[in-house]
Amino acid sequence: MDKFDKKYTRFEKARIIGARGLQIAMGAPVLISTKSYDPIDIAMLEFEKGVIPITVKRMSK
Amino acid sequence: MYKEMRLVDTVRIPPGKLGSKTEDVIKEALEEKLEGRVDKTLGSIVAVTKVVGIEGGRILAGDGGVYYTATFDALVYVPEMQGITEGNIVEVAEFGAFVCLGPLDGLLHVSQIADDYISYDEKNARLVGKESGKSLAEGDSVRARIVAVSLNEHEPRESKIGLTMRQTALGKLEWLEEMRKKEAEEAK
Amino acid sequence: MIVKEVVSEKLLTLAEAKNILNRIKRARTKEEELRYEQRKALEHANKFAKINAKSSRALVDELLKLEKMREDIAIRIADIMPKTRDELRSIYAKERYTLGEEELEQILNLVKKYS
Repeated sequence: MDKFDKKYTRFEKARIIGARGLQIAMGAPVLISTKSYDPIDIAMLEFEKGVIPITVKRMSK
Repeated sequence: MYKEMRLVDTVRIPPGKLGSKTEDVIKEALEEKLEGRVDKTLGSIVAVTKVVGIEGGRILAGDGGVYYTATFDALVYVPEMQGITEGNIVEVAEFGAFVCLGPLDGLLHVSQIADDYISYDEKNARLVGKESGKSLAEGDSVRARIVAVSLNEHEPRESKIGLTMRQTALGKLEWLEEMRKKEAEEAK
Repeated sequence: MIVKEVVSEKLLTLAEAKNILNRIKRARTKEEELRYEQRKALEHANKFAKINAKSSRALVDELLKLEKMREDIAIRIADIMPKTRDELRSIYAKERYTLGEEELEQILNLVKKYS
């Protein structure tokens, strides 16, 4: 679909959206404009747009 | 004695503050966490003065906060055993006087004020020497030696610093001035 | 220890600490005021710092050129600014060695130069 689907595994994607959703739920500023009030929805939208300020550090290799 | 220390510590930035400039929120978090705290090996942390480096930004499972490891400069006060310091008396009680040494207060016990029998003059809130007539009241400036240090990490204001003035060249600054005059006259 | 690591430390004279505290006070006038301990430290430093920060450091540097001088003692001398031999001796009272007459005079003359 887009580059982010290739960049992260589905496990990483779940972790990123989960962590970001929690941040938003706890009051972190939202980085996109949306009408949604659901932190998970917002996190998923942010993920699709590639604006989530989270990276994954892979331990092996 | 004061020190400028470069320290490293980790702080949690709550999600609500993630929008502001990272350096500013980290400095604020460090101030909140450390200023006014007392550490047995470091001393009393008076102020965080500058953040010089930020590392990481770790996210833990189940916590919306972000953890940063920061390198920063701090102003620290260390009450040094046997060190000579000056301060002014902030409170007089029957058992002695409290001397402000900086961020912390020291206690000058009645037995450590002078080679004299010292009694408490309750009416005037003064400590008076029986033979010498020397007196000590709130606001007086003194020079003393630190003879005991017991820092309380959990209750910084409960930290105890013991002082003595029962040695040559220690005492109320006016007494020292008199001593200097006398010495100068003898020299003539 | 309440922090993770100490990278380095530098001893300060009371006058230098006073400058830092005054700078903090100016920077924190807006929403955050000085903490209780900071106000106390500032008041104390303003009252007891006897010379300015620059000369206090210059005095420390000159004292350190003397033989057997340690940094913490030099700082203490610059904070107390002893005028007599007895006052100077009291700073050295807990050291393992005592100073000779000549050394005492040398230090007192340096102190006088800066006061």
